[in-house]
Amino acid sequence: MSLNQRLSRLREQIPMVSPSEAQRRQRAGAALIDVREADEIAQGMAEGAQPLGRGYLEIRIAEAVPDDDQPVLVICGSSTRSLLAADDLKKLGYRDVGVVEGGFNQWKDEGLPVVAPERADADARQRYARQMVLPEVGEAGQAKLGKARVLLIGAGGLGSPAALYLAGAGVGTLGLVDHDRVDRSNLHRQVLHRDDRVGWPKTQSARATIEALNPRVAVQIHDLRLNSGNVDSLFSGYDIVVDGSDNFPTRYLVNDACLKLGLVCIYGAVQGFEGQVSVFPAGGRPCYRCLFSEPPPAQFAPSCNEAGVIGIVPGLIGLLQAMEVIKQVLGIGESLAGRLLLFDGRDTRMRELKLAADPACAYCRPGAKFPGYVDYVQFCGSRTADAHRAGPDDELASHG
Amino acid sequence: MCTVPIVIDFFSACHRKLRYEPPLRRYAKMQQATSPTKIRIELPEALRPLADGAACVNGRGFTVAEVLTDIGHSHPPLVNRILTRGGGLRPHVKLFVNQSDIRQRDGLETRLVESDVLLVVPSVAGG
Repeated sequence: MSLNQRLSRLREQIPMVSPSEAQRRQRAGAALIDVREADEIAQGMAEGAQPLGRGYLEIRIAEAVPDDDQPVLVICGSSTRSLLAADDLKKLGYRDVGVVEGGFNQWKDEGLPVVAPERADADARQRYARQMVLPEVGEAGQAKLGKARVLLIGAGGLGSPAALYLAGAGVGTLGLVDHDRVDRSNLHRQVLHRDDRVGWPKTQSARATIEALNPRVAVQIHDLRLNSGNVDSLFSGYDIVVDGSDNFPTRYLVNDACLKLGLVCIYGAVQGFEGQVSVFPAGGRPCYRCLFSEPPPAQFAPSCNEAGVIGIVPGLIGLLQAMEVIKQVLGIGESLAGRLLLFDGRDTRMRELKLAADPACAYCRPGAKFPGYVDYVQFCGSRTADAHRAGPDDELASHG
Repeated sequence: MCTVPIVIDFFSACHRKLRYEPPLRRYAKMQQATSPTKIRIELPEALRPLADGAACVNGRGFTVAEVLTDIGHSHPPLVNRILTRGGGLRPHVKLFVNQSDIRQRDGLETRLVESDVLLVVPSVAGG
């Protein structure tokens, strides 16, 4: 059978609908699938269409339209490829498949709404090819990553793997807060740094590594100690905060600031062979204080130097934090909000626990007025156990 | 004076998988229990030095509070890290029965059945 004969037969079998009717049906719940090539789609596509392309149609359709009873309308440039694609979809089991008559050209001629999809340049298409091919990412997702602004608290054990992989994934802006300098004892886990940079400010060492990996990323360094006086202005330039700090005062400050400013906090903490990771969503519920309402007294908080850690543990936990960031930016999957993941490296065990909001949480309960920041006395290695209300000059360590 | 023997588990008993138990079955077990239930308490690395290095300890009791009291007889410093002098849960420690925060049940008065695992999760700051 020649192509023309096959198309003639398909025209008899598959309903053709006008662009305006397709728009009406799409608004009523039908999926509009654009099967044109990426170069054509880059010139514009029908508003609300899903750009799956002809080549990946069979692979991607189940993600885009999981219910084979959902009506599907296929659109291409005129309506030739869409007829062939619609035939394939019927063979895959989709029951209600139609074709947009005249395709995108007629859609435009009728003055229906057109959108210009985000377009990656040649470097980005090559650099991010292996993740852009995923239907969850694509050009649109890559554009979202490029616009994301992520602040990493600490360029240490957790911040290092998180920063490296977020940079690799193409997160557009990475902020790094750390006031510390690279020490040789950091290098077994803080893989952003190198032996020949011992003594450098961690932020500068981190920037050099990230820019060498991916020069497209804008690295903003904040070589300072985080405190209640600077946290608001610092956080307000970002969408997501990754908590990789190494002390309780900073963790509570990060949580409280994220709640106040409506930012997502991606939490990670490690000690020895064990790690914890969770997500405290924008607006809290649950937040870090729902989990642990107050820091431990100094005698129960081991010194940062004494506690020790196997370098792989922050490596794993930092990568899980990076994964949560990517999911958050792309709006995919199920976040760790409301769940606490525990990792035990000795037995290679992951355990998931349910977290619930504390109805009495002073910081995130509905209608609660923000109580203000608390600068706990620096007690990692200190003998002081008391907390006190912050003055603007009180400083806290913020490095990882 | 506690007369119930306490077993400290150093090996395989620490690695049983947490299991979900339907509420009705739990309730039936609670009704049947006539003597204090033996419960395994899993410890984080930070607290193991207070239990002679053990990853878990076993205690007996009908409730979380009773099990902790029982453990306290052999390991006072361990329980001191979990409970305040007044017997409340310290704010930097969480207790989970299987996967659920005891706060979502009846707190320290949460009733336990023999298959339950009590998990201690302390706040950790390292990064």
